[in-house]
Amino acid sequence: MGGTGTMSEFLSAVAGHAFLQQALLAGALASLACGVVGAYVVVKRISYIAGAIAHSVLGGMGLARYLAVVHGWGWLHPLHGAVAAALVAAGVIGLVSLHARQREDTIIGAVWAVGMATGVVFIALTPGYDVQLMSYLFGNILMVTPENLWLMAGLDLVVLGAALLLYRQLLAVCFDQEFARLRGLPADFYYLLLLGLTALTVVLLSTVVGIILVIALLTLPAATAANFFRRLGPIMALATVLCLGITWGGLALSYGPDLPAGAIIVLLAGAVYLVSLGLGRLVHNS
Amino acid sequence: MALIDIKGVDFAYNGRPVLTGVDLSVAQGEFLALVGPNGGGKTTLVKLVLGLITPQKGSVRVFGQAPVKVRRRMGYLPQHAPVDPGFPVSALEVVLMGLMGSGSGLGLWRRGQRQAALTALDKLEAADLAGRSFGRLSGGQRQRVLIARALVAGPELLLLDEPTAAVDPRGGVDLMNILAGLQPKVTVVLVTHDLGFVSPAVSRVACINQSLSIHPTQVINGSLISELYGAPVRMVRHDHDLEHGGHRHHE
Repeated sequence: MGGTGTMSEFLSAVAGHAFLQQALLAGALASLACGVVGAYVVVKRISYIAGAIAHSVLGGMGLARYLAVVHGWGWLHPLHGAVAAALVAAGVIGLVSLHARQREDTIIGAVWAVGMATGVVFIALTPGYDVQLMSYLFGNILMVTPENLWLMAGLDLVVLGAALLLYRQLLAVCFDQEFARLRGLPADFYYLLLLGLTALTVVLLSTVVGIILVIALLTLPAATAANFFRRLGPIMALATVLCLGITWGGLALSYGPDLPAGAIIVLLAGAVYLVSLGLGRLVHNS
Repeated sequence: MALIDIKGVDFAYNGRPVLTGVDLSVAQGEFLALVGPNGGGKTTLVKLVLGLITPQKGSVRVFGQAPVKVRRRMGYLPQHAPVDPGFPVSALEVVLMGLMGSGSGLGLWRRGQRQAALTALDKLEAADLAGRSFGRLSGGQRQRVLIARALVAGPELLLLDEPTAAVDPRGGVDLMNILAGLQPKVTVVLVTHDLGFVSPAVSRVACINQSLSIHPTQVINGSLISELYGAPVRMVRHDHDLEHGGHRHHE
C-alpha cells in the first residue's frame, strides 16, 4: 500500500513539476546510449577503461566551471568540459592500449586519478564549489535544465548513429581485433571510435548518477541483459529498456523519502542484476 | 611465379632468434605442411606471410607483393582463436566476419552475405551450427566455424595454424579430407606439431626448428623427425585413403 501511495504521489508530482518531467526525459535520453554502448563495453570487457574516463570527466567539468565563473566564459557549461575531458581521456587510453600494452593498467589508473585531481583543484579555486562538487560526483538529475536536455539529445544522436550504423565493424573488432585487421578493416580506428562513444555515453550518464556511480549504470543493465540473450542486438534492446526502467524507477523510489536519486538508481541497477543472475540460470536450464 | 616467396629471412623476438636464414617457395595449388616442435618458429613464419610482423633480414613476398597488400586474398585460422564463452555471437555471425572489409556497407549483414556464410559452413559440414552460440560449441565445432570464416571470402591462399589442436582424431581426419577437397584451387599451408595429420593429401612437408628444411611427404621417417626434434619421437603413421574414407595406423 505504501509503495502504491509513493508511486501515485510521484506521478502527481510529475504532472505538476517541469523539473521532474525534465528528469524523466534525461533518464530516457541517457538510457538510449546506455543500452547500446553499455553492451559493447560489457562484451569488449573495457569497463575499467570506462571507469577511468568517467573519473577524468571531473577535470573537464571543474575547468569549465572555473573558466565560466572566474574568467566570465559564461557560454561554457560544465557538460562541454565533460565532453572534452572524456574524449581526451579515451584518446590517451586508447593509444596506450594499442601501442604500449604493457603500460596499459598504469595509464588507466593515472588518467583516472589525474583527471579527478585536476577537477578537485579547479573546483577549490571556484567560489561555491561544495554543491557543485557533490552534484558532479553523485549526479543531480533533478537539476537537469532544458539546455542540458538538448546537449544530451545531440550526444545521443552521435552515439546511436555511429554505434548502430557501424554495428558489424564494432562487433568484429570486439570479437577478434587481429582478424578484423587482417580483413583490411581499420581495427585501431574502430577501437578508438568505440572508446570515444563510451566517453560520450559516460558524459550522458553522469548527468543522471554522477561520475563516481556512472560505471554501474553503464555496465549493469547490459550485464543483466547478457544473462538472458546470446546475441548482441537483443542484449542492446533489453539493456536500453532496463536502463529506462531503472532510472525512472530509481527516481520514483527516491522522490518520496527525499533520498539521493543517483544512489537509489545504482542500488536498483545492482539489485536487478543480482536477481537476473538467478533468473538467467533458470531460463537457460529450462 | 611462386605464390609465397621467402628469401633469407631472419626473425628474432626481443633479441632471441626464432628464424634464421629461412628460404621457402610455395607454388600455386600446393598443400604444404609446416611441422616442427613448439617454439620452433611455425607460427612466426605464418605471421610473416600475413604481414603481421616484418623480418629483421630477408624478404617475404606473397602473390609477388608485400604481404600487407594482399591480405584480403588470404584466409587465416589463428592458433589461439578468441574463445570467450560469454561473447554473444552466433556461429553464422563469426563466419560473416570473414567477409568484413569486402564492401563498405553500413548496418546489418546483407542476404547475399548470409548465403555465402551458410555455404562456407556447409563446405565444412557444419551448416547445422549456424544458429548456435559460438562460445557454446565444442573445440572441434569451433574450429570448423573458424575455418569457414577463413574460407568465406574465397581466399586463394589458406593459412591454418594448428587446425587439429582441439579436434579428436576422427575429426582431424575429416578435416584433412575437407582441406584436400579444396585442392588445387586453394593453396593450403597447414601448421601442425601433430605429425599424425601429415597425410597423402599433403604435397610437401617443411620442417622448421629455427631453420627450415623441405621434404617430400614420403621421406618423413623416424630418423628425420629425431633430427628435427632433437630427441626420438614416437611416430604413428596415418594412411588416409581419401577416396574411401579409410584410415590405417602403422607404428
